[in-house]
Amino acid sequence: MIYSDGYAEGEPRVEFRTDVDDGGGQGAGTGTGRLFPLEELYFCDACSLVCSRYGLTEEIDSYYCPHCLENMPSSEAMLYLNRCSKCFECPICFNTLTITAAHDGKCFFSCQFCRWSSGEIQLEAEKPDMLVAAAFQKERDSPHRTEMNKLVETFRKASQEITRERELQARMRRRSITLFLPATSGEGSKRGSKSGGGAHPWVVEDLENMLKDKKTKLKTMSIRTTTKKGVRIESISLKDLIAPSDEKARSIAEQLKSLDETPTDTIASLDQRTRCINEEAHTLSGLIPSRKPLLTKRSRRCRQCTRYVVKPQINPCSTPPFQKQNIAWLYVPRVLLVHPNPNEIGVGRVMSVSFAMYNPVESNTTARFAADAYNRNISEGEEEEDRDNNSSSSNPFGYTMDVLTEPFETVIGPHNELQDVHEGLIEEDSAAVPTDDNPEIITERKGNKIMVCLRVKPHDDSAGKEATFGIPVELSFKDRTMKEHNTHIHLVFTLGIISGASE
Amino acid sequence: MDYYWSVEKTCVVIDLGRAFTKCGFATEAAPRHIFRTPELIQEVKTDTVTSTASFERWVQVFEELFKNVFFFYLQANPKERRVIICDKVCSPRPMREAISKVLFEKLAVPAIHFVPDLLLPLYLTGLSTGIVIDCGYEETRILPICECVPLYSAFTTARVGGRHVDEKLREALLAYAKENPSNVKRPAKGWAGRRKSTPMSSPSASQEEPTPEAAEEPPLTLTDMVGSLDDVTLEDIKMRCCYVRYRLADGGKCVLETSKDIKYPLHCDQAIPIKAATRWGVCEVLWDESGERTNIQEGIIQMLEKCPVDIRKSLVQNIVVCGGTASLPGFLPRMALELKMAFESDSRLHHVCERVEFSLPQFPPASLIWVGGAIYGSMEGVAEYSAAQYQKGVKTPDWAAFTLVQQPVQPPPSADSPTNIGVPPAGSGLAPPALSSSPQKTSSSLLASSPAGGGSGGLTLPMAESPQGSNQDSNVVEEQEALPSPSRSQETPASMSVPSPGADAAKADAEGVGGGEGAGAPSAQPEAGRDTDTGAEGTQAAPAAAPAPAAEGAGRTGTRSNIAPRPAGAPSRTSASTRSSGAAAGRRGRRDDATT
Repeated sequence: MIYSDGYAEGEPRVEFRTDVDDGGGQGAGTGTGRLFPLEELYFCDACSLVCSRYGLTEEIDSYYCPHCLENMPSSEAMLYLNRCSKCFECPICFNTLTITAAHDGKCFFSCQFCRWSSGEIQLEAEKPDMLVAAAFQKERDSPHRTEMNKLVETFRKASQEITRERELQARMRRRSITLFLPATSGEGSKRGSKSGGGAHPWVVEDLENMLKDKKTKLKTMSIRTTTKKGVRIESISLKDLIAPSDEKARSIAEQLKSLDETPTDTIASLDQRTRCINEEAHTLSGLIPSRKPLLTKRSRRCRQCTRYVVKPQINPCSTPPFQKQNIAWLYVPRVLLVHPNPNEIGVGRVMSVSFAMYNPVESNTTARFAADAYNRNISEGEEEEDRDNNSSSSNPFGYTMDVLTEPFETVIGPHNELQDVHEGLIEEDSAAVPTDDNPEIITERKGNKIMVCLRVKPHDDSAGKEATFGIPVELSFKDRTMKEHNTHIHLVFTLGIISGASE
Repeated sequence: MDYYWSVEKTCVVIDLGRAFTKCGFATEAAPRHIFRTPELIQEVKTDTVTSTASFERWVQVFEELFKNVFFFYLQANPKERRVIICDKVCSPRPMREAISKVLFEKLAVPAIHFVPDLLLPLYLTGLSTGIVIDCGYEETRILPICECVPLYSAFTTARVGGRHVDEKLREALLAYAKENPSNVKRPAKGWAGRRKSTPMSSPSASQEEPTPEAAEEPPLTLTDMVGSLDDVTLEDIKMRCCYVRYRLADGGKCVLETSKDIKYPLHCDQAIPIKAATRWGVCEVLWDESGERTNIQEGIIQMLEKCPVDIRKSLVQNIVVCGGTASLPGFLPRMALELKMAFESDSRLHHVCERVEFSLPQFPPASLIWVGGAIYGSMEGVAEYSAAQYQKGVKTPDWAAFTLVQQPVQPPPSADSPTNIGVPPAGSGLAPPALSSSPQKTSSSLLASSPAGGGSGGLTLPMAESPQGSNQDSNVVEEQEALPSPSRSQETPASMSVPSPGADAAKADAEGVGGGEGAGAPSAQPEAGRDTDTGAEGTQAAPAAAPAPAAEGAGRTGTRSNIAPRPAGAPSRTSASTRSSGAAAGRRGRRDDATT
């Protein structure tokens, strides 16, 4: 659940655009897609696709307690309400409690961080396991739980009855036609039968009597008499609520006492209260420890081919922790931006941007940079004419810079784990990598790293905006199993804020 | 897929509050997790703007939110859990559609229930009539419910809530800080920072260090500190230090008011002084009489004035207060006091005062709505919006659609419709339900159609109108199509114009509880009576799955079927109900017959 929480405006960075909605429905609803750093992306090796967490479906594989690291089967986890059966959390600071024995041999929970102890709420026992059982029992016996069970039982029964009745009635329907007919033709109604006689027609006197009855009833009627059976609900009338009494005076005095204390010493904070909401604790002494929430191990599948992209081991302690972990970091070249000088970014100024690319796979990676794909202007010469009709179709993502470098293709050498160790000892295997680089674009090359230099220019009307440009890159490489992959990525560079005209 | 259906697992219940979202499983006594609602949902409705976000934006927000809810908080497989959304009455349509899209397409849940949240607390009272007051973060919403029918026409909001208390608190603290300018200590440097700067070997360095630094930095004033408080801290100050003052009429013994100034410690060595008057003063905004905004007691009075005369006395006997703001100490007694004063100054409602009664459910007010949802989720046969319906293109249920498609009144259809000779057309509300030949089939169609008609609010109308609706019984469809269209269109206005009182009267009548002398009783009464009878016998079709609070009545009268969330006086209008009889519509149809 730890994801990058966004960048400051203009912070230099490289991101990958995924989930672009091209009508295929993959990123439906996202329009121009989403931006992610490489670390948050995945690579599906079945369909050679770089995808974000939104392009994957998740499934829960197993549950475990983050404190005792015990693995719990899902049925058991459900039984224990997705909380650990042994570990408890401090109600004050939410750290895990430890069981401590006092001099007199009594065991109690104590917090090693805030010094809270369960002795304060009379939660003590002779032995550690009895203590856990007692805490459990406390949770199980809460009046809210029993009350809720009663309510649920009552309403479930009622709903079952209704369902059954409805089914029955549906079967009776044919017969009911005949019952309806007299009613519609005005010959009589069942009302009469209810009020005593047979199927009398309506008489005005009946009606008036009924209204009279109702009037008298209305005066004394209490809807409380209609309370559902099995639901016992307390209520208090307005009169009683505001009538002064000694009892009330006492409870008010008590409330006042707690109000007069220093807040953080005795009054529970919002977070503490929401953790055990049913206690309705105003003061800290009303809080009870809760069991530690479990964590899950989840597998992720590609939405398109439904094959596993990430599959963890069941046991939280196993090494390696994953059976399969296709993160993009292990397949897609990593891009490292050389932070540009912020003063260089100005309207009308051509600047160069350098970045390094590291190939993580053990084969050559061919990369085709469609550098000018999202340029607003077709070429520098036509800039003047073209400015007006810069169609948003050529720049759907709102980039503010043009890339002046022509599209190019290059090969990045294979990753070799021993490269750093052997550096200088072995002649570099240059045969696999062509050396006819354009030195203006590929300025340096070594092993699985290349240094790329691009020339970019901000749009004329973009002063004050973030300097961004994007380059689609086609990649082809082989993975460990020598399977060939062809995939495309969309790099988005952000350099800084474009300053005003400098000419 | 079959597997998921056969193993019934409890629903997931989600209450998207303005400040806090509660999520958990049905049948449990408390939400599993309560966390702050993502900002967008919070910013949806402000004083001036109703909805700021587009559908696409909602999808993004909810995708993130529901993934968190399912995989992080609840750790449940969404494919095997139905979801209950405690739906705000006025939530924007794009939001609802985004919820369905995310849940069905991204998480593949089998079904969603959109349940109007204000009805849910009534489950905990065991009554089907009452007033629910939700004093939340943004505003206070007040909804009367009579015999399981929510009277949306009387729905009232008071523009006061937790947020306004927070604002007042900030103002008060700032004002105090400006009056008493003082400097506070800067927070001590974090432990990590200190450790970095001082090598382990020289403990003395750490003592000398602070001095030069303190000299460099300008002193921190109290004003700065108060100004930089974030909303979360402010809310915490409110919960810990503030209370609602009240004074019962006995001359000083029962008074909740303290004269003690306290300090709210911010960091280890910083504290914000809070005056005694501030502590209760900021909560006065809830009862603010200045007329700047509607306060809570005015809201209740307004709501009652919008209600039909004859049900007011029943309504006030069951007032349920929920919402986080209601858990401030002293809230309920103060509300009772204010309410009493408000009633006494209102000559028309004066007599109601003595009947006022507050229900006190065991559960804390902040989670009442959620707990109601958890009960709703435990019931069988409740209405749902299933994945199959979504795929067929059935629109997301929305009570608001009810008013949107309202059509002008048209003359009632002639009694003999082309297909059913001798049997009144469905529109008149008396069409016998059993036209289909096989009982089995019918019953299944009933169940099938219940989702559309049932549980949530006005979802019925849009469903009934869309041809692929939930009518799985072909008979139903045919019949509907065979009807002259006016018969259907006239229902809406009819039921709108004769809102609940009639229907309620009918029900009340049947139970002998009374309560219906308004609504032009003499003429309406026999009809109402008959109506109930029809209900008692055949019934019907009344679609749904009677969820809830009503369940009780439904058992007895049969008509009541769908309880909960019906907009005022709107009969649930599924195909099934069209045939059988939506109470109000049926009455209307008959009355027309009689007059002609």
